[in-house]
Formats: sequence, C-alpha cells, structure tokens
Amino acid sequence: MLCERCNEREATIHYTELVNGVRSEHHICSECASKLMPAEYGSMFGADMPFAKFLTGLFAAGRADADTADDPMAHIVCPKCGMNFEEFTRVGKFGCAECYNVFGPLIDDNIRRIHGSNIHTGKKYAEAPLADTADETGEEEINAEEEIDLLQAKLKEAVELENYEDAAMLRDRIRELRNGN
Amino acid sequence: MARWFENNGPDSDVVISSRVRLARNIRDYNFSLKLDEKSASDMIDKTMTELSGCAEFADYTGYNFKDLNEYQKHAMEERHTISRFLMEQKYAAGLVSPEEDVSVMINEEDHIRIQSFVSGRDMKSAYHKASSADDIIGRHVPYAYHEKYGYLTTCLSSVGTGMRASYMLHLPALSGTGQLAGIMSELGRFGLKMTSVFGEGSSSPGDIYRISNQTTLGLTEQELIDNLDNIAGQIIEQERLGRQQYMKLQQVAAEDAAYRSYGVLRYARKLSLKDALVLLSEFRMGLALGMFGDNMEKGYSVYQLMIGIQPYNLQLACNSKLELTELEVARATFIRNNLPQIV
Repeated sequence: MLCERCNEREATIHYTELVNGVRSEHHICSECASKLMPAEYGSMFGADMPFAKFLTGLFAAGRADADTADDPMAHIVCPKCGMNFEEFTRVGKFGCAECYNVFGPLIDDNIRRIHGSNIHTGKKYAEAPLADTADETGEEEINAEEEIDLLQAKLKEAVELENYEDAAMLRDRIRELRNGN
Repeated sequence: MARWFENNGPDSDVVISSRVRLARNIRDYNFSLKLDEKSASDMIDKTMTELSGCAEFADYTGYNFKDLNEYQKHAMEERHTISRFLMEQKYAAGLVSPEEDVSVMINEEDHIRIQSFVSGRDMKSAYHKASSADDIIGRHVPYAYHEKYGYLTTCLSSVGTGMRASYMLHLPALSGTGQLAGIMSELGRFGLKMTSVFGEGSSSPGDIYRISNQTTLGLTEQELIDNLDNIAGQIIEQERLGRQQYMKLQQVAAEDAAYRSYGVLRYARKLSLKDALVLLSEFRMGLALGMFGDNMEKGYSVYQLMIGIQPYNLQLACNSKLELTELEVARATFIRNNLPQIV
C-alpha cells in the first residue's frame, strides 16, 4: 500500500484516528510521519530522553500535560490488537506483531539507543515454503537487494559512530552482494 | 539418563553452565499482553499439537499446566526447565528433553521460549541446540518476523535475535574479596548484565552468578556470544587469580574452610537452604583447587546438590509437604546421601 500523503513510498505506519467519535484509517510512510509531526518527534524522542524512563512509564507521565484532543500521537491505535500510543508508552511493550509497524518507526531512535542499532543482522527466518513456490532465483535477488539496503543503513551508522573496522567489513559485504547479482 | 547438571563441562572450576534462550512469537496471535485466555489456550493447544507431532521431539516429555500441581511446577522452576514467568502463568505447556537440557515453553512472556543448557563453558553447543530446535519449530508454526527488526518480541529489550545467552559462574573469590560489585557496575558498558542466581540483591549464598547479554538487536547471534564469552573469559581469569592468591596467602585457612564445610555437610542433621549453599560453595571451591584430589574435581558436579536441596525438589523427592524443620532435616539427609566420599 502506498503512502496516502506522498503516494510514492510504501506506507509503513497504519493507524486508526478517533476524533470526536469519528473513526478514520490512515496509511503513511515513516518519512511523511516525521514531517507530519516534527514537534512531537523533537520533544518526545529527544536525544536526552533515556529509554529507561520510557519503559517505566515516566515518559508517559511527562506527556500528561499535553492536550490529548489535539495531540496527533494520542490517536494512533494498532488496528490489530487495539494498543494505543498512550498505553504503549506506559507499559513499554508491544501487543502484537503489527504494533512494530505502527509504533516501531516512531521510536526508532529509542531502539537505537538501547540496542545501539535498529536493524536486525542475525539469524533470518524463512517460513516453510509451500509446495508450489515461486521462481527461486527471483526470490534470492529480492533477498540480496533487501540485504544490501540493510547493510547500507548499517554502514552509514558505523561511519557515523566512527567504527571504521565494521564499516570496511560492511562495505566489502555490500560489494560482494552486488557482484553476485 | 543423566541430566545436564549432573556432569561437569569445560572450565567447570568456574563455569557451571552455558545457556541460550530464544524468544519467539507466533505471527497470527496477539502477544501475551493482548492475548485473552481463550486465545492463549487455543495457541497453546495448537502449538503443542504441532510440536508433539515432530519426530525430532519424539523423546521429549510434554507437560501442560492443567495436569501439574504447584509442587511440580516449582520443582521445574528450581531445575530451570521452566522460567519463573512461565511458572506464574495460569495456562502454559511445553516440552522438555530427556536430559532436561533443551526445553520449549509455550505462553511465556513471548509465545515460545526455547532454552538450552550445556554444562561448563560451551556456548557454541548451547546455541546450536537452541537454534536447531528453533529451526524445527519455525517450520511448524509461523513466527512473527520483521525484515528490519528481526524476531518480534513483547519487550523491546529482546527484539532482533530474541536471544539471551548466559553463563552461570561460581565466583567465591571475587565475591569474597568484594571485587564483584565493581565488575557488575562496569558490565553495562558492554551490553551485559550480572545477577545472582540464588538470593536477591547483593546477597548471594552459594556465590553463583549469571552473566548475560542485554542487547539483542544489531549484532548477529555469533557476535553477541563472542562479546559475552570475551568478557566472561576475563572474569573467569580474575576468579582463578583470586583463588590462587587465596591459596598462596592463606593456604591453611582455605583448606580448613573447605574441609570444615565438607564435615558439616557430611554430618549435619538439619540445614537451612542458605547455610547449605554457603557450605557447598566452600566445598566446590576446595574441589576446584584440587584439595580433595584430581578425580573428584573432574568427576563431581556440586551444582546438582545445589538444585537437589531446593525446597520443592526436596518435597517432590519425599512426596509430601514438609514444614520448615522437616525440610531442613530432609535437606541434610539428601546431602549426606549424595555427597561424594573423600579419601
């Protein structure tokens, strides 16, 4: 599904807005989301906000003075499990797999802060293939492309952190994958 | 068949076990926080049916909380086959391997927790066992997996690999000389954490500690394990140095403590859990330092006694509910019956 604002990128944030009892569904990409709510991003996910506070709910308490009716974040609800942003920040836990698509992009910085990264590089999961699987080579190409994207993001991060040893390894791996294609 | 904790593994003078836990969720169910009882039961039953049918798990023992009493559940928790979180769940089920080294818990904080233990310092084998079980399970139930975030978990603190690797270490020298507090506070910088296994807070009768990775995202399983192993290796070396110093400076006192502890363990007629753990720790260090001969050091796992003397395992062995004094008497008897003879 394409982002309803830019109509270009894939929508990664899906939320249900409830305003004065009127329900509307929205699908936007994370880039538009950050443009849409720059003030919230700045104040709520500021660099000096330690994640521990977020987890214990102090984070939510800090927002208590925000006017909920006008706060766009307060209206974000996971369409699958019904978790809303307020509850999510209070309990610090995800309600279902879909929550990661809904809330994940909004807390990317926090994820990076606790884990030092926001991209999984470990064991990959491939669901058991069905008997009539699609053309295998096609699938491999997609995987390689996706891996290159992930590695590039990791490379950028490594350079930012001046971790040149890792950066060199990542660069070589990207080159290998590209040559493989 | 011998259970994993009845044997010693590599570096067993300090390392009791290597453990890997993998957190997995099933794609189509809400996570524990948003999972109602009916869906939880449904998830447990379907998953158990799938896994019980796997040839790879044919020799595993299945359990369901519906069929277990409180004593059985607590005893499993004391033997580490189930976690405390699972034990406190109303609905849960799972599978345990014959040696109790691999266990699959269903309806933990995440739908599935896979756990493997290996005696001594051998995280590679522990990871291999857990990952193999994970491969099998993942073929039978569809996992919640995200291209960017990896394996999705209830807590943000486990997302990515979903892996928590830990060593259980016996650290009497570091603990006795007060060096542990400093080490513990430094570990956060490396994305690691250390906790006491028996007891809470700073008190740790038995001097058994667990060191585990805290971060789970952005590094591969191998990188996380290498990082943990590297730091654990340094702690192990520090502990050995501490023990050698102790022997060098206070050999008589060290031998006296180990033999006295053995004497009390051998002849006491009642023992509190705390006292027993302290005595077993002294005895274990004596064994590791070769005071009781080389064969004893390699051949005998003191940790099996530390598990055996826990209250619910004792009551289960006696097949009756015991009051405090009865429990202390049963504990002394159990130790007497299982303590190796020294020459």
